[in-house]
Amino acid sequence: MGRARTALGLAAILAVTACAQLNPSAPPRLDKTGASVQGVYAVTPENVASVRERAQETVNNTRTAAGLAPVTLDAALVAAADDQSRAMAEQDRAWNFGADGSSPLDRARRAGFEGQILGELVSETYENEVQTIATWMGTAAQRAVLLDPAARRIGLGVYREPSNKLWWTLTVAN
Amino acid sequence: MTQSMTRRGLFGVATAGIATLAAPALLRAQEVTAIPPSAANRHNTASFRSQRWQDHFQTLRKGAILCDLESRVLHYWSEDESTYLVYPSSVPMSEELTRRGYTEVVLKRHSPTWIPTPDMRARDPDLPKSIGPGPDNPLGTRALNLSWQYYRIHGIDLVEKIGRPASNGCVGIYNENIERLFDLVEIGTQVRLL
Repeated sequence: MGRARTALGLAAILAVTACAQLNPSAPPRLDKTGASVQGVYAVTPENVASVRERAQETVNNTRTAAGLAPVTLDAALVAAADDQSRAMAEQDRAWNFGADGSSPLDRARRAGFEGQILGELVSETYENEVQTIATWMGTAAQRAVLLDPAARRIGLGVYREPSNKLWWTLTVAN
Repeated sequence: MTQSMTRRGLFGVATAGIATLAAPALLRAQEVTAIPPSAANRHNTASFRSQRWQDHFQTLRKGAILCDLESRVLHYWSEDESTYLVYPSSVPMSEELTRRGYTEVVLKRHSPTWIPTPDMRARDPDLPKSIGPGPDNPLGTRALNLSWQYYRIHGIDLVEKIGRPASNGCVGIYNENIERLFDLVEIGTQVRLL
């Protein structure tokens, strides 16, 4: 009983947040020639702060539904995650290592983060942050990182290519 | 408190069930990250999970290597815990070729010669009899033989294999990384393939 309720609760939260994303109030985006870009999600320097907040809310809704403590955005982790998003674009590869072989632990330390890194999720996609979090929730190993009971701080990084392809990084720490 | 713990436990059971339906182990193992997202393939994802040696080993006697085949990462802790290394690795190409469990380093080989196993030769009769030290050697510059016959932790000939399902059961890491690891491990260093 309890099990079915919790699973349904999570599905409902993901559905609600996803719906909100499918009805953007912003005007249609235009490409270089002035043509409307349909169905492409753009992250810009102007909206990236609210993108990070929405990601944090989505993570917290998901964690709360599972009976877990919420997380806050950490500035050093955000910087480290942004670095990895850019590094993935440069390597043209969705993975957790830098071109110099650096691990998520190395990058967090370099950015001045002093806590313990619990895990990191990445995605190469055109999906927005809410869809991306739902995608991560669909794989057991990735869900375990998002739902780590010890998690208290996160960094959400994103790099947008000219084609609007997005490289997402979510670093999870205690 | 008890109630919240129970809820968490049940949630874990429920989600584990969903995961089995959504992503069979075999498909996950064959996932190739080199394909860009498209209409048919909406995203390429990957994940890294930190590890604590205490969750896998009783002690750090002679040091310990944990090969996380899911994250495609090799972890190494030295006996005195002063060194902790995290290296990306290649992993076996399929579930069939994957062996998990506890083993240990039984032989350290500098500039190893590669000899295909009988199974490899059966799958591809055109394989050379052996490949000596050099850039084309699939074992790279160093190899650590494990107590399981034919299973090794070794260097690499093609860097593209790192982070991808590319081996016949072994775990490959960059040559510069295996050279550092080679100097740290000893005969009897504990190994777990997870």
